[in-house]
Amino acid sequence: MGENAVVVEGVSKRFRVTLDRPLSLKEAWTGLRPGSGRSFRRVRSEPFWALRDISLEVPRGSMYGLVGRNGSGKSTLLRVMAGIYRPTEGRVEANGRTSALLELGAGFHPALSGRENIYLNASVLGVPKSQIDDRVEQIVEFAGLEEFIDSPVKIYSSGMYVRLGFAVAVHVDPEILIVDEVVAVGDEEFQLRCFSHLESLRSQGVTIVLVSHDLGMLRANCDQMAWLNRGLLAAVGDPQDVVNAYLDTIDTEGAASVGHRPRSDTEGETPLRITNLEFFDGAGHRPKSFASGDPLVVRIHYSASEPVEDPVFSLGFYDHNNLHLAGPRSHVDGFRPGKVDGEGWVEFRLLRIPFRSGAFHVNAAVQDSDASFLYDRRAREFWLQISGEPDPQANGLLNLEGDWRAGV
Amino acid sequence: MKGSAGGVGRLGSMRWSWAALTNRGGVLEIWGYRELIGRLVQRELGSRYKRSVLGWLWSMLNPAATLAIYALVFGVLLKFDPPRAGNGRFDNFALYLFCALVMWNAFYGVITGAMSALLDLGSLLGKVYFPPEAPAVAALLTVLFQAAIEASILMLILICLVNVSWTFLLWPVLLLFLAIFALGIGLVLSVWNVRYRDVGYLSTIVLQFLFYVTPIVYPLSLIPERAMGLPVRDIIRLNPLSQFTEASRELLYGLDWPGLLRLGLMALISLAVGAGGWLMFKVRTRDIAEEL
Repeated sequence: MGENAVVVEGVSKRFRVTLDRPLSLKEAWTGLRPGSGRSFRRVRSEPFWALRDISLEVPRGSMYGLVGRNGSGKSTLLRVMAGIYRPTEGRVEANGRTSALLELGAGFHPALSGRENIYLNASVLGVPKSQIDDRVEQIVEFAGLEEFIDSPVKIYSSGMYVRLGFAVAVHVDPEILIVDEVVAVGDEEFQLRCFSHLESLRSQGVTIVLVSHDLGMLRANCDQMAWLNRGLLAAVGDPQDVVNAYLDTIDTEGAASVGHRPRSDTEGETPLRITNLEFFDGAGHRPKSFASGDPLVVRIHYSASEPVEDPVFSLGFYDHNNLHLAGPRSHVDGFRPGKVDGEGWVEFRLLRIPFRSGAFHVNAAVQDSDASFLYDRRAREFWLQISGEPDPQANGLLNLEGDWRAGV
Repeated sequence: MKGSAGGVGRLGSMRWSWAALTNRGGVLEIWGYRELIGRLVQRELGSRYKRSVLGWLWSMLNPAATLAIYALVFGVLLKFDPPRAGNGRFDNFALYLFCALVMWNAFYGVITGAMSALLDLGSLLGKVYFPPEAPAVAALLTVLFQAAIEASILMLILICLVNVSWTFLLWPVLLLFLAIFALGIGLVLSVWNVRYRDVGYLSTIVLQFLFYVTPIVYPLSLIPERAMGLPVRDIIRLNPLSQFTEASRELLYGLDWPGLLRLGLMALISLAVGAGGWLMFKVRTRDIAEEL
């Protein structure tokens, strides 16, 4: 069997982006599409390489993290590992029963009930019925779906889908578990439960391959990581190194790409956009990481296509488990920016950073003057790195900077 | 199950050992997914037989109605003459028809079942791996179950009429050959059905045509030797399906056995079509997860 659970060897994956495919036998035989009057035999497809020459080894019993921007090929790689896609070139070897949790509701059939889907999924993974009979109640309880388990899954909310999908995937005794960033959909309590379950599976020797945007979590928990960039393997190895290399490019690329393509929550037209977020220290520099207790300035860059009166700016600080730590809002703090138009920025200043070491993500949002309409929001995109070894003497996430006194 | 989780190698590079055949992508990997197929069959049968008040009687309504209609139109109104039954004591058009109709129902059921099964469960293939032929095989088993019920009723009636012989024992073998034959065709059509949206309509028309160029509602002897300058009877006889319906009538109604040569020929045809369809399906569905 060897010591590797998954071996990926020189894997490339090409998709045919089919622009104009015959949709019926009639079209395929005559070579004509009614109405267009022209043949589409020539322009049939345009190859798109989602993965190019990827080689990596996932050691048995390890937790392996994958990072990369959207569209970098992470999900394709997971599908190739799970055997759903066939590599165009190269070879994948998965030694052990593989259970994959890709996108919402893993392999659910919408018309079947939750219970039937549990059995269907278990049988797809080759788990004998007798074994799954014992597990069903456990799965239902883990997913918290006691009331809905006999209803068809098409009526489930996306949260219920994910909970059931996760519960099934981890309760079928996988030897290799492949998890896409789906877990992020559940509520925080469920995410924590998922994560502690993944931990316990790993301690039982299950190999886990994980995609996430939660860099702090990956760095803290993975044994190894790989970073995919536009289908190429950009870095692989020690989590700390991979995360740092990845953060470096996010910084530079992020700054470069802001001008032409901001990634925002609100698609389409909005009069006011957040174009960037920058972190400065007390001296006006932009260090890669900060120390706990340092001063911090968060600068929110905006771009207004028309004048907006007194918008409300807000920030959200989150730890790697997506726990909301703080959420300063300009109108609550008594700050009114006046009329904004064109490009500009707003700053939030902090005398001393209260966070202990780790990676924190900072969300930014802008709303109208009475905070009822959301103009723009950018989430899980900007990372604040607080460096330093965790102090074994200190507990918790924050330094409260109180003092102690005694009395009788 | 152990084998099926093995290498995700390419079909071409596989060595021909039992392990390679049952590995992922191997021709016989379906064996590792017995559990899944059993589950699919159970689901299909469960929804068909459990949820309605009349139970499985309800599922016999459609074949019974078809039988009644054809018997009325062709036997009573058009007065097609059935040959004498094997025991020489009676002739009955409905029973004569039923013997062939059981075969046709199975053929039709396997083909349409395979086509809709892949479309129905195919969306799962993008999320979790299983051999894409599994739904079709489950559909096949479901149809065989239905055919077994129909055949049992038919045989029971024939036994009551004291028209019974050892040839009855050969009938399940014949059904098996037919099932393999139909599965081969159904698998190929199911891939096309995913790719081209008009395959469903076209196959309905072709199947309807096939129904009438197969001796089911008429005895082969009713067809003239030549019509429109063509040897029509020989053409219809050459239709492989005719062999199955005729042999079914001989075994159950005529209590005659078709002979080793014809049985061997049917076995050969069904195995060739079944294996050919299966292989083609395996090759064509290697990237099916991307297409659905």
